[in-house]
Amino acid sequence: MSLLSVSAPAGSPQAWAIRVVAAGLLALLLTVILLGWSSFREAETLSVPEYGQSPWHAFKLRESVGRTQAAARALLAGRGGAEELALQMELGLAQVSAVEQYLLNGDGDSIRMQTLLQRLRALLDGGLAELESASAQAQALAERLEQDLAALDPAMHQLVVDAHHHATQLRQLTRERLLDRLYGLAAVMSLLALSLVYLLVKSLAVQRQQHGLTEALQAANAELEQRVAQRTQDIEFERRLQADILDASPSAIAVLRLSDAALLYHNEQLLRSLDAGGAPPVTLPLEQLFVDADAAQQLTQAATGGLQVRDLELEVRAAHPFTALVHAQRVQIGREPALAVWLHDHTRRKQLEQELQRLAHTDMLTGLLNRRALLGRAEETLHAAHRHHRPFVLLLIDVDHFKRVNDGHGHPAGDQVLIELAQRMRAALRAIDFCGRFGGEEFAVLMPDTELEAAYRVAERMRERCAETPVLLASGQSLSITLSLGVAQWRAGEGIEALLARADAALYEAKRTGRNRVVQAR
Amino acid sequence: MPPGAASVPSGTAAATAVQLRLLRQGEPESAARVFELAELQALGRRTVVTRVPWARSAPPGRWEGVPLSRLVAQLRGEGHDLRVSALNGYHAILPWSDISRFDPLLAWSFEGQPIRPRNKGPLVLVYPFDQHRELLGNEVYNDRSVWHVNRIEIQ
Repeated sequence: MSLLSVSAPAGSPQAWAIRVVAAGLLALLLTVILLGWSSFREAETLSVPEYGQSPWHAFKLRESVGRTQAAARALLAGRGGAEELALQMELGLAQVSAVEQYLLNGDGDSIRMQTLLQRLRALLDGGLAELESASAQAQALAERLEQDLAALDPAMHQLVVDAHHHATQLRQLTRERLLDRLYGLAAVMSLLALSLVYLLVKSLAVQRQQHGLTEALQAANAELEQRVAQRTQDIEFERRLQADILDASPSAIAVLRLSDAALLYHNEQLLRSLDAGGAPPVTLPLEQLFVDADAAQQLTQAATGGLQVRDLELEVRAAHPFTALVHAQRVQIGREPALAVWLHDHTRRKQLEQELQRLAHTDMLTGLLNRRALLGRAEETLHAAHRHHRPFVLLLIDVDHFKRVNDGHGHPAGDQVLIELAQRMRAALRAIDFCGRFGGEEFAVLMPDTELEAAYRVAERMRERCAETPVLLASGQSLSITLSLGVAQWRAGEGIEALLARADAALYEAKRTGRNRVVQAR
Repeated sequence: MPPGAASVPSGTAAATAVQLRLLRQGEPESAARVFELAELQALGRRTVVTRVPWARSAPPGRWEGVPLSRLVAQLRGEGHDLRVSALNGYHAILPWSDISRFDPLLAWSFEGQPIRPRNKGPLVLVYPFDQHRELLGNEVYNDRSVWHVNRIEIQ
């Protein structure tokens, strides 16, 4: 059935094969039906059981004839009666009928047998009729019958032989017909078996084809799955790469849902910055994140409106509060509008800036203000003095014969001298005074709110102390150092340049008049 | 003397006379019970319409006789096989199962007429061939259909 249900285009070799096989099967089926029908008929015929019985009945007939002869002889000898003879003749007639029953018509054996049987029947019939009509003549009849039957003895023997041949012929005929049927049945069975094998092979082939298709489908499926897995792996790799990059970012990053400030994403840095202690907050409202709530609200509005917020400096509320440069941008997470916020910790930069500023204003060797910073202070002091009508004084200090120290003891010794002197100056001055290194071995001091006389006394005391106390070098040597000082009080309306010039002139005067002295500017 | 044999002359009267000897195996011949036609008929009459294997082409005929089981019951021989013998010296053994299954007839008349010895009489053992299809095609039952029955021995 599976073969016939395979659909193949008409005219193709496969369709041809199917038609041939179908026609063959049909023919086979018809043959089987015909053969089965004729075999059934044959079986009916064969079931007639008497075919093989003619020799047996012929034998019994010969016996019967013998018994009739014996009865006749007994009657002649006076030992038997007519009744017994009549009975034996009757039985003989019955046996004649029995043999006739099994004879085929036509062949030579049958004709010869038929002739004998007719002769016997006539003898017995006639004898019986004679006995019935004239039982007195039984003696004569018995004598004649005995002679007639004795004459038939060779023919009786022939009858048995003929019956045997006759039965053999019948058996042979029957056997041949049976064999024909058997051969026919065997041939049909073989054809049926062949057809069955063909069908099996064909259906196996179809099955294998289907199996092949299934395998191809499975392979395609597997490949597809592998590609999907590879793609998934790639996506996962990208996602992790992005996450790693974001986590490695020095900026804290948070993505907040606009509707409820839910924290949709954060990186590691955010947790570190907030000192959240492991668990990230569920929501992170910007009004709470930043100290300046108004600024936070403005930031949210600007970003929501689509503006990019850049470099906004805001104080962040955290366990360790810090200043952050804030970037914010509206993003889309799925279908929900969200706000991406970058917090860059600004505190360190602030500190650096302050350090830089300090360095920019400081003399590296002595730690005093440098020339530029001191001039800046001088400007500020001048403005304050001008505004408040307060006096102030400028001191210019120069180390006497400093070139000799450098040349005689080396530059490290010179530096040590300068550091020592700077300490002594600071110790001698008030907190409100500014002290700076003006370059080389020259120092300057600003003394706000100070009259000239007071400033002169401070300068004189510095000169005296320095001259009295030698500087102890690291090498163990001590050096006597003296200072020359020029002191100038600011005059109202005077600029810094002019004040400096007058102080410088006073210092020059001190140098010129022998050093180790204080000179007031004119 | 049976009524049908009344016209037969005395010379052949014995040829058509019905006589059956019934006995148990091993008993002396003097113990045998002898049945003539009237006595057999007194045991019970049954009619079977059937074809017979020795005349297959003939149409079914009406056989009348006594069922073998009735004869066996006379000697309380139920369960035993029967040895059925004939006037011409033939005999056959009938197993008890044949009697319990088919209960063959010991027939004395065919189509209302006594059966002459030349027609396999006077007593013929008839299986109900048309009533049991398996009997007609089987040579064993042909052999057990004894003609000219004159003696039955219960074994």
